[in-house]
Amino acid sequence: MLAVKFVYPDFLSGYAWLQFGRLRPVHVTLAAFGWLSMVQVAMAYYAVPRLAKRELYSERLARLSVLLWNLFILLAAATLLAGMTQGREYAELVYPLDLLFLLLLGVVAYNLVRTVLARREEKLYVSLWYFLAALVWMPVVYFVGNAMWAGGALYGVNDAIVNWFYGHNILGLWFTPLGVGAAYYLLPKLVRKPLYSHRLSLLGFWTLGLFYPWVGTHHLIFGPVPVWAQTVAIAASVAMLLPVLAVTVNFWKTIEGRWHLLSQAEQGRRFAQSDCTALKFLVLGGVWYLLTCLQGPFQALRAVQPYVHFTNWVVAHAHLALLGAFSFWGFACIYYVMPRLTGKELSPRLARAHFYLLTLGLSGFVASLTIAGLIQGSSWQAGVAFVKVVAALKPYLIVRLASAALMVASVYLFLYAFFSSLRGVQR
Amino acid sequence: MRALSIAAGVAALVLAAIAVTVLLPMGDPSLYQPSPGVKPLNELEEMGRQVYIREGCWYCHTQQVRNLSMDVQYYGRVSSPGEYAYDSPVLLGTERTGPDLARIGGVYTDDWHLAHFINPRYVVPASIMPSFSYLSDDELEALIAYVQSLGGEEARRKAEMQRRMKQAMLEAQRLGIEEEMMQARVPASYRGLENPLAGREAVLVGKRLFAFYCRGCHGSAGAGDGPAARYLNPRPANFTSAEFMGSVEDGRLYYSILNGVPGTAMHPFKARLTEQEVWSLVAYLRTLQEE
Repeated sequence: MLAVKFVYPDFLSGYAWLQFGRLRPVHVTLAAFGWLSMVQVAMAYYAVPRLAKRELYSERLARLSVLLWNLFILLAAATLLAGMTQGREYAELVYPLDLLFLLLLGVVAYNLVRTVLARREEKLYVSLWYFLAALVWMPVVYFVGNAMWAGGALYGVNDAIVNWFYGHNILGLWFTPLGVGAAYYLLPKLVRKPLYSHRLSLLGFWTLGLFYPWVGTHHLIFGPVPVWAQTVAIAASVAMLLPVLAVTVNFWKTIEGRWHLLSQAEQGRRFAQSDCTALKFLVLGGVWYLLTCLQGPFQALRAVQPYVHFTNWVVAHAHLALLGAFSFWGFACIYYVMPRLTGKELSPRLARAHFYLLTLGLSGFVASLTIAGLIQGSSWQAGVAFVKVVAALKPYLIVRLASAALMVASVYLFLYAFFSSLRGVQR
Repeated sequence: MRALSIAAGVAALVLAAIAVTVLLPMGDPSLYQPSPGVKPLNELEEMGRQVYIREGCWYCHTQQVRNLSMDVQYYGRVSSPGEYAYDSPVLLGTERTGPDLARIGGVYTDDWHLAHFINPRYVVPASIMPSFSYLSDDELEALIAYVQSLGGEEARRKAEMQRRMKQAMLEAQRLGIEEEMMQARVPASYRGLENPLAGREAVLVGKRLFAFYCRGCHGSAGAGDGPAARYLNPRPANFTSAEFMGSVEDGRLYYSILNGVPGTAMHPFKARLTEQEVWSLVAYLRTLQEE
């Protein structure tokens, strides 16, 4: 849970124009590997033993992973600020830190996989499938993206192809399975109803594994890479509609008949207030998930690419996924798990403020950057002078700044509520 | 056992994708062999590339002209894989907060780049690029050499031409024949042109354009003393000087704005301004002269 303290500087860097090039990788690395990965792994540590009906394989290894992970994040931020970078997006970290991260993943994966293998529950709930897959995939993806070609063995456009295989699959084979796994865990508990369809959830699972690893090269459409590779990536991107719809249908069908739980806490139930907030975050996260996943196949089409690629549209899309879908689900996890660990709820008033401010901020952020992106794309198509387009974006960048400020404020409120609830709790 | 089968299944899926999407392209020689004429960077350019990587320039600038007419009209020839054969990491980029740089070498002079790195708003008032004034002189020199190499041999040739023109201009200045040289560069057909626009409206349009594009170098009042001027040699023109404005025809001003003045920081504006707009600027410049 130490991860939470990393949340607010991430948002700040978005409008620190000076030294932007240094702060940007810090922002991305802390958001992806600090905040999101840590909260998702924390959720796996919570959920896996409960689904396996046994204790975590090793409490000591888990503690070690928390320590290593925080050390990793500190070193990552420090080296990036010092300008030590490999010059590859999402893979900036210097080689020794890549090895540290692989070690870290190994420790986490070993611990959780051993827990699953020694389970006392015969059935494997779908969340376990997703967690298991993420723990298999991420070390492979990270190894290919960061360690396999160490020492600059990779040149030219092949470097870009590898980078985007890795870059997109942190999302597809790490954040997505961990996030969807967590959502599948929380949803039935929060609405007090079994999952709509186990079979549908497995269809979503296998189609995710089948199609997602192929999409990376859609970041290079019309670029200097083979046309067949672009076409394969586009086809796989469109096929991603299948797992997305499977998850979405399952999601909404499970909630069916329980929508009232979103607005009013259930009477007489323990932690009802906090669960209500958790459900809010979970459901809206599901909406962001659907939106960003519908954008994905759409953007990858050759007819759409020229209007959106290289523009702020993509920035909005990326935030919709990481800050919208997966961070909202991350907050849902925290609101659900914390009271059950500490016996105390986070302040319901602060929780409400956190939810609405974050939602408002994210909406403004995504709307302003999406419009800005469309202005860029269409102006470039029309051949408008580049610098004139830059000047025209100013109002939208101001809205983005204000929206980001709201989100930072909401996270401060959350941090305050979080630490207040810890006060007086026995270790 | 069930869990292990799942693990094996998902591992197989990702390995299959790696084999086809990552490893298969690696066997294609057209993706890793350098195109004819593509050479590795020299020592200074390589040092500049390291600065470019360290400062994260590649987050906001792409280095790829895509196979799209919109890219070609802004940036030139479509990029081919063989141009990147020596690049590790490759810096294709993903965002154009700033323009693409694949063909930027030689478009601007070294002086222009220096002023631009010290503070981009010195030369482009509307720019949102960070200032890199904290770089050492050596780093700036290397970064400029690297940027001037982008676009390969053609770019290096253009940059070298800019440097030679600068020397020629400075030599002419020393000999006191600068005016004659400038005059001679403008085709006679242009020199005779008359400004088809006149009157308040054109002047106001020109004033707005001047504030947007020109004031960084030429100064807010047009006296050639903008914040960039101290980095530029030859200096920007002084439109308040009666002597200068008396000797220069409208046609020459028009030609110089459209096509730039090689060897100086004055680069061509024909991609950014319409003919109409250029004439409006000329009309505005005529109002700047001090009595």
